[in-house]
Amino acid sequence: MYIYNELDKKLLNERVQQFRGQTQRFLSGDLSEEAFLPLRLQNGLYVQRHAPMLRVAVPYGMLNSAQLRKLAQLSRDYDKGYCHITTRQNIQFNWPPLEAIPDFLQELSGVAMHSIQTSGNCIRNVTSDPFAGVAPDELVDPRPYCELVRQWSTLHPEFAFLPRKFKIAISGSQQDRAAIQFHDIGLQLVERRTDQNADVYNAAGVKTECGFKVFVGGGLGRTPIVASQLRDFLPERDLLSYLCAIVRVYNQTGRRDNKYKARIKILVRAMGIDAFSEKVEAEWQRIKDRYPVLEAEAINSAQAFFSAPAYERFSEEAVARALKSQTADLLPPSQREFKQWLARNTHAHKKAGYRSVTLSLKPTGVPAGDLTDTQLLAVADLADRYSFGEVRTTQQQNIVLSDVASGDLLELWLAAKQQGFTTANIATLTDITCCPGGDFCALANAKSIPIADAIQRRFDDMDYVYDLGDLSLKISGCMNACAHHNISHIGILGVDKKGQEFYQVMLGGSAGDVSGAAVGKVVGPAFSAANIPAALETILDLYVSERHEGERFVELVKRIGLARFKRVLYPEKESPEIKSPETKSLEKENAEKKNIESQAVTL
Amino acid sequence: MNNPANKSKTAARVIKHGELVETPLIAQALVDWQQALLESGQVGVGVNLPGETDLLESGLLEHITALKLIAVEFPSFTDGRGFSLATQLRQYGFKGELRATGAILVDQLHYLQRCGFDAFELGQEQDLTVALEALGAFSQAYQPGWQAGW
Repeated sequence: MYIYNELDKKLLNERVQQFRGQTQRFLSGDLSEEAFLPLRLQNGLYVQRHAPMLRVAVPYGMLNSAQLRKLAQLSRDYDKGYCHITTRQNIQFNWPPLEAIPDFLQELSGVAMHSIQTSGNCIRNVTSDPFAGVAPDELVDPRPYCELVRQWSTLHPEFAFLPRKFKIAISGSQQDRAAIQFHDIGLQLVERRTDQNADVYNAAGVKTECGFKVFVGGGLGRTPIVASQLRDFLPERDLLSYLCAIVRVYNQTGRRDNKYKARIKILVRAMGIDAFSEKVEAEWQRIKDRYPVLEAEAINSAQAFFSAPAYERFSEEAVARALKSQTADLLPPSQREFKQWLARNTHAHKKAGYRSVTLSLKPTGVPAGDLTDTQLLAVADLADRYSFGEVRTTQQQNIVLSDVASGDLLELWLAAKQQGFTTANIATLTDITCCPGGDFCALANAKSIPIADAIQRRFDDMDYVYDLGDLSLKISGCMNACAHHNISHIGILGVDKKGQEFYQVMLGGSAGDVSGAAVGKVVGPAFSAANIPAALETILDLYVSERHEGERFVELVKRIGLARFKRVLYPEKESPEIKSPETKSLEKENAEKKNIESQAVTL
Repeated sequence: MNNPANKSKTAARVIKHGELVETPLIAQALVDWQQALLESGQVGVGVNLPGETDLLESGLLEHITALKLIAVEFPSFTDGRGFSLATQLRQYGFKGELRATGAILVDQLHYLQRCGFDAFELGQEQDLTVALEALGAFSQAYQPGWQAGW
């Protein structure tokens, strides 16, 4: 994990002092509300439904146990004893009072953490694969590059007042687990054959150089768009100058007259990828020779922070035997539970004898991604005991222990069970991603947490849930799509009709992980909250009866199309619920009525 | 109780290198500057550029070394195009006074400075002490900055 040096520490300290002064000037009336707004947003501070909300950055999802313990203490001292993991791997606090935020940030800086650029029209926290560095399908570890981009984009003087927010994601594996094609810039690490004088050889002994496939203009929100490919190969040494060229072109030509059309995805679509690319390449040609390049030395020293931990040598067979004999001592119901957990919540690892483990933050009855102070401390202890003191947050609002020795799995399971972390539902129907929704968020059109809860309660038969297989279900309380409902196999979107909450259902979306990147399509008229579980049942029944052997839900949707689902969901032509076009115009109306700052964590 | 340095009610003021400038250079509007150049071939002292100006199409680039002052005007403090424009002006070799004018916040002065501005026009309501402090908000940076040659 990256360790702060003197420069990082000094900058962070100066940032806290700067924000303390700005907050004091605001509270004393010397700084207007309007002028304070972008300044506090760039420190992750929103004014919310009940209280200010503070979003703390977790760079590319990595946290150590000391940081977890600090977050636990802060949630006790400044909040109501809990925090919330966002769909961009960050951590939100919902109740800290504004006047206490400078002290909060001061304390946070003690563990090399901050809230810099977690909102506002600037370059946001870089996100990545929660299994970076340990996934068997990884080509290159993306984290050193994430860290280099973090440094480059942090307190960047030129890009603090962009037309709109700007998000970068980096992936280094074959399967994209970072949804890079739904980001303003998505970077896919690739290798290519080279004749150059470098001393880098791949496993097959071929001389290679490392670089990026560059995607641009993806995003969610009200206009979900899959990114376009901007570059087939960008040498790693040119990464920063190329990023600069893209963001500069966006800064100078992106729309500023309408915030709903201000994201880079709209610019790229309006210009066309070829014209946009031409402009970027021209700007890049002008700057690239004087812009600092990422020399091998800089990359090597970034990589050194992410070297493999002190793994022990295990033989897979010995570990399997040990696990079997440990499990034999369990009572049969526990045995079954443990096996299900092994199957759903643990994942293959690069290193023999190790697994990655996902702690589920989705037990029934708890808002997705919420963690109490006691649980934060427990996660810290688990990390110290079983995973070299580090964890990762995920886009699905869970926590990953990335390096667990397989021989420790039973012990870990027993310890994690006491904290409610072992619901064996990872990547299933009940592993629901859910925004805070109308219960907390000032932007929401409808509540989302109670919908997730109702679904979890309806589908409490885990055998049925396992039989459904890999499934993503995501619920957003408004079209800003913080829960990424439109890239979910099943997406649910809250809409408002004259004060009443309704829910649109979308099918067939995909973040890009297994079946390629795709935006989900609305299946038909919206449902009332009460009818959502039944509608889901209808959808899933059709899947179960129509699927081919081994066919996953999202593949079936692709094969049979939405019409089949429509027929079973809306057997009568005249449905008493709202029509889709009407819902659409209502959404627009709602959005325009709400002249509230946009705090959405939408990609 | 009235510190004259604070909240002085005089007209817009220019600070440069951490001090108030007594008689700031005057900049012409871009159209006037272009007109004068066309008519008399004279490159004036200074020119005023709206933040949204496309530098490559402004006709300014070839005269950049002859100019003593370029003032970049921000239409609103959330419109960050002027930050990129300033960076480009310095990259193309402009060595004269680069002044930020229009809607700028004292809290933006540090970033403006790092993009190459060395002079700032402040409104009469803006506190000079706070402004000078804000200029030095950070002692170091992750990015090399225009002074490093880009």
